[in-house]
Amino acid sequence: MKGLSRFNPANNLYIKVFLWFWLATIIMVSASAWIINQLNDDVGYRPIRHAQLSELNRVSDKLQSLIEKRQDLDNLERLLTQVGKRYQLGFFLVEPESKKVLSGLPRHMRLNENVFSNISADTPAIVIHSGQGEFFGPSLIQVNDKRYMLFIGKPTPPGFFGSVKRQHPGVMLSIALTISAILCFLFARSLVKPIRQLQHASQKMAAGDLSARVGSASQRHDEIGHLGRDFNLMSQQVEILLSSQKRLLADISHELRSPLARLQLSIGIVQQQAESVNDDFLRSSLDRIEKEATQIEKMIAQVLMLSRLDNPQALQHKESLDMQSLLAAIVSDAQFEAQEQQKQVVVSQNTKAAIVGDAQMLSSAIENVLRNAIKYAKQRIEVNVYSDKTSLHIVISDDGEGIEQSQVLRIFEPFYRESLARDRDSGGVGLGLAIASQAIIQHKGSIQAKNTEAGGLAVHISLPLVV
Amino acid sequence: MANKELLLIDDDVEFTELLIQYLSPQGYHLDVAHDGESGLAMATSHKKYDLIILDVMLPKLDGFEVLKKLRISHLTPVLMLTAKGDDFDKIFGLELGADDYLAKPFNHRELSARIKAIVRRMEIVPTSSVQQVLSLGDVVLAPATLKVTCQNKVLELTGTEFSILHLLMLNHGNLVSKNDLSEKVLGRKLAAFDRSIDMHVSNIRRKLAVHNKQEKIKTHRGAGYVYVVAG
Repeated sequence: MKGLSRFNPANNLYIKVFLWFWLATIIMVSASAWIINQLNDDVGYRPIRHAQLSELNRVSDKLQSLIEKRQDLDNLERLLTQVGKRYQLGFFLVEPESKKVLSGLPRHMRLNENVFSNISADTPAIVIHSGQGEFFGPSLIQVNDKRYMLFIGKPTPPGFFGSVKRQHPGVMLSIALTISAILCFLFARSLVKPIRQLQHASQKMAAGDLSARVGSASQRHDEIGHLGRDFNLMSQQVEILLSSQKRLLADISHELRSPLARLQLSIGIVQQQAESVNDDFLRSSLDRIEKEATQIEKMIAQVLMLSRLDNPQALQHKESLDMQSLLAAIVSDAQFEAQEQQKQVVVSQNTKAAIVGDAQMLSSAIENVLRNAIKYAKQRIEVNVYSDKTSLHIVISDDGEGIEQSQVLRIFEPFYRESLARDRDSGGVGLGLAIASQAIIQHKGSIQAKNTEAGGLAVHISLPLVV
Repeated sequence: MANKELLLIDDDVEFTELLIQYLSPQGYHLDVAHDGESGLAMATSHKKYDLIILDVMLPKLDGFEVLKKLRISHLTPVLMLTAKGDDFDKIFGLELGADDYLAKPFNHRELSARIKAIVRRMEIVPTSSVQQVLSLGDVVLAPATLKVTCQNKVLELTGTEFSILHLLMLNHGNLVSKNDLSEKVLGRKLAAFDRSIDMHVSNIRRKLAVHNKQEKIKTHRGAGYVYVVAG
């Protein structure tokens, strides 16, 4: 059974495509054959049967005697129609030489004249069968000294296709085209729809949404379904891997807190002892150790902050924020720091828009970006705040060297450093921009960096306005 | 000056040993408990402590539970040691009536400063004007006995709450900035978005409101607080 299910078209795209094409071809071929047959005017001849011959003779005699009784033979066709109605048969007369047909049948039921081209007055009675029905004859009839060949028959109604074809030849073509178009559309869609789903899911994943999964496409039994399930498995694995890596980082930082607390106390104890000893080298060494311990403490705090920001529930203390006063506090601190380095922070703010968010989180985000700008600026840092209909924009640009274009996206990654030389003097640990980015994302905003025309780096933060 | 008596409740044995070694030369005597239950028992015993240093993560009874049970009967000043990276801890601790908090790990100088601020608060400005009994409306504050009454009913205020109320009443009718409150009461500069003072003030308001619903401490958003005297 298992082996056979491989060939189940529901499980196998190869078989499915094969069958679809095969089926389509079969349908097309047989449909054309059938339609051609339906519309065929081809005429066949076959020998007459005994019963038909005697009926022909009987009817022929009747008609002959009827014609002889009649005086007004000007309208033969009308007579034929009347007789035809009585016998429920189709009557028509053919002139043996000119093959002109006098018929009692409606126009669309008539036989083509050239059907009779091979038939002369001497021909023995035969059956003519065509799309219009079965006719037998000839039987000779004398009308006013003129000989006619009589044919009688049972006309079959032309049927739907026949009448359509005869009345509107274009419609048949449109019907055929429409049916085949619908079939092809369904088939194409059944292939393309799941592929689109896969495409969307992988795009989302590439954009960083690791929770992206393929929906209904993964429930199919064919190769696309396999691909969908494999994709889901892959993204699940990547998600697990990444989150466990992040958790590891957070866990390590957690565990480092206790020994670090003891280390810092130990430093304090030694420093107390050292105060009574007059040894500058000892003191400066201890200060150095203390500074490094403080650095580790800051790093741990930042890693923990970052891992907390990864949590969707990080945004707890939401309130309506006045951006002006929020920025004023950050900028005045930054201004102080910049002045120490002979740099200048220039703020231009022309909006009073309010946003909703966590004040501490947002200001640490803006502060981190601003500090980064001060660090790399030559002289001047610009903070530009404005708003449009939907968002508040904060653009922080410096006049530094900028960064390589290929690195623009990477600066928001944790522990990213432009130059791999870890300059400790800056006090940074490479987490500032990552924290900023996470905090902004938590506020459903966006953060982007790009090099300015003047050569520096501009970081553009957008935050959605209160709706 | 007699040694100040400190109670240290922390399950990290090595940490407590180091802390004793560090604080003893500074004139503190430390008792130690390594779990919440015994810590609470010691805190509520006859011995009067000047400060309890309480870690949040404790076996048997966690720091918050210890604080909650302690505050039912005692107003001993409490400095909470919270876990760094957990903002929720400090807010919750202050709500429960902790006097201050410090995120662990910390710089040892920071710890000394915090302890000093809480333990020696009353010794910072012992001038005669500050020691006078203040009576504003139905609220009476006696610095000498650390007692506050509202409509002749005694308010159970922690040391920090008492100091904040004292400062606000001394400057009644005038704005006292949060930074001033932080520096004078907690002994440190107000950090950005530090909600400690707000938490303490909201605790004081709650306790005053039990006896008199009339609002006495008004907030000036972002700036500070004013003690208003009903006119």
